[in-house]
Amino acid sequence: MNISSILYKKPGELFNKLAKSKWMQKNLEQGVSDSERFAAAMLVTSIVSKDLVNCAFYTTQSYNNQKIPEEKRKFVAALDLMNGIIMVGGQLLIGKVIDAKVTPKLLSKFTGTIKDAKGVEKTVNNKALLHPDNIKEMAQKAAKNLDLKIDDKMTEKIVKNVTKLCKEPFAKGFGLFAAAIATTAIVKRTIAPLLSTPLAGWFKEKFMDKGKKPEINKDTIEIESKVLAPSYSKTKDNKQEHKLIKAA
Amino acid sequence: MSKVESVVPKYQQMSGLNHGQINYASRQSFSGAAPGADDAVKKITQAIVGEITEKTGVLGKIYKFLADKDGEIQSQAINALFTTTLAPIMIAWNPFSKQDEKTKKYTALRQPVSAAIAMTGGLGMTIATNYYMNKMACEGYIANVDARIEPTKDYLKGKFKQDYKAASDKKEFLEKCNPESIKGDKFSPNGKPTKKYLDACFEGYSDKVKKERKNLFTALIGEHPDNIEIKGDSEIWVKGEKLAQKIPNLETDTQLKAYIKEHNLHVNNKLFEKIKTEMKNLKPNAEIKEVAKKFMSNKIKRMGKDFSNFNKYAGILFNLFMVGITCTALNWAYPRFVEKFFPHLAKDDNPKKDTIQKGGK
Repeated sequence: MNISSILYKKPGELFNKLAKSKWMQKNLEQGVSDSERFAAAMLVTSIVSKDLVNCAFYTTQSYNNQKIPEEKRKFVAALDLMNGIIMVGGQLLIGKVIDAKVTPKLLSKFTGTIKDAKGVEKTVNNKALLHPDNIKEMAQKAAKNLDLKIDDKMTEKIVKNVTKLCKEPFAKGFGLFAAAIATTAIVKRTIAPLLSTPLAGWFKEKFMDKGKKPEINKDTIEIESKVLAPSYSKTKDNKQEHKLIKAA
Repeated sequence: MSKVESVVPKYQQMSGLNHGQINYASRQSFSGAAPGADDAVKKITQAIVGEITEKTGVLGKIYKFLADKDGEIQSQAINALFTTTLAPIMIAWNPFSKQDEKTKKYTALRQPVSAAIAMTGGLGMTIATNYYMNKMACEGYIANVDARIEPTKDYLKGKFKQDYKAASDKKEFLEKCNPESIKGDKFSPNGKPTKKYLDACFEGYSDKVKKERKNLFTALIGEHPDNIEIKGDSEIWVKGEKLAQKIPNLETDTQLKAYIKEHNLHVNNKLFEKIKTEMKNLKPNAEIKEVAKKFMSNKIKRMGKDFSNFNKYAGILFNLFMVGITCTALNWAYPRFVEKFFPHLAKDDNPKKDTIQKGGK
């Protein structure tokens, strides 16, 4: 077996199987027919998939960190898990809502059209900036200003060109912008940091401390204080970690 | 009589078309626009695009930028942007957290460090993935998203650099790429080509390669295998005419036959049914081979788009491997970073009261 076979031929066969799969074909079809929504969906998929792996990685790492006393270790792992669940679940949920409800409605203010449940585009405002009727009107005005004559066929071509150059990038960029703000800015970086700490305490008491007396809040806070820093580093020479473990 | 042959005349009878007939009159009528019409369309389109751009303002520019730069690097950049800006604020001023201010700041600092490491690792992995996937698709290793006929810009740039370095006479190589003269200097005083000239030469090189391969692809459609052969130094000859040379993995007869089979370049029943659907949009007496060529050229375009979208999935997949590495790197780098640049935050004044808040990685 030569190097080209190892590096390209065999992986190429695997990738080809993936590319041929029904699931991938369906997604690639959407990538062509509805590139605006596809781009936003890919953004959410990319961020969420990494968060999922991150969550699994951090939770396992914390739970198996022998330097943290067992009782305290559970809280750290619970915190990592809660953080991951809020991020992954929240982003998927809000991503879906934004894609299905919010983006089409906000976008229709510019495009003047909205898709119904069957996927058929309906006009809601033909005076909207990027609506074909408005583009036709703009074409007539531009032709008059430039002293040019245009017929119906040319007008159709202008509408097609303007749609390709303005409407499609606008809709795609808008979808990406809405998805980024809703998922990353709101869920991942605002809601998750706010809620993960109190939820971790609840999770630990409810699911990890079975058969033990419930701990008072003061203790939970103390646990938090003593053990969270060590999970940031497993290195032996980390002074911060040693100090905190000693204190615990 | 083969199945294909039995179907073709039947359909031609229906459409009143004799096999091989080319109706030039009808083909001319497709593009038969009034003189100057294209120019008028172009001018009016430009005027409207300008007007819309002005009306949509800064937001419109942001949306266009996002749409143009869509991909794995963009998703990493967006993630890094909010990790650096929003996350530290939410941690430092978290109303549900009972930690002291110093600890909050200590924890909040983790976010920009995390973003920098994730971005560096992610960027490196994305660049490497793009290179690898481009090579795979543009050299025909992934049949379903085969981009050999319309190679991607990134791949062609790499090839251009390779060929330029390998050329014994570099000036002659560039002249061949870009015979059209460009405005301004082609070479700087030290004899090196200017960036403008190199860019123009790359455009010429890219157009030449794409044109050559598209011609080959179109020539292969419906062609009898006896008329296609590989000669000398991986040259592809169709009907006694040399059409292309050294296309990756199209260098032997076996590879060429496999390619023709894989992409249904012979008009078979399945393709013929698709073409019939396509024919509905065309003049009734358009020639079948011409329509097949149009159909296949659409297929080339589609394969290019499919590869671009497929590459996004590959980017995510490869980057998932990177996550483990960046997590470990963060664990190593973060305490050291704080100790070095913010020693007062790393100092543990009163560990009993000290608390750390996590959230948002």
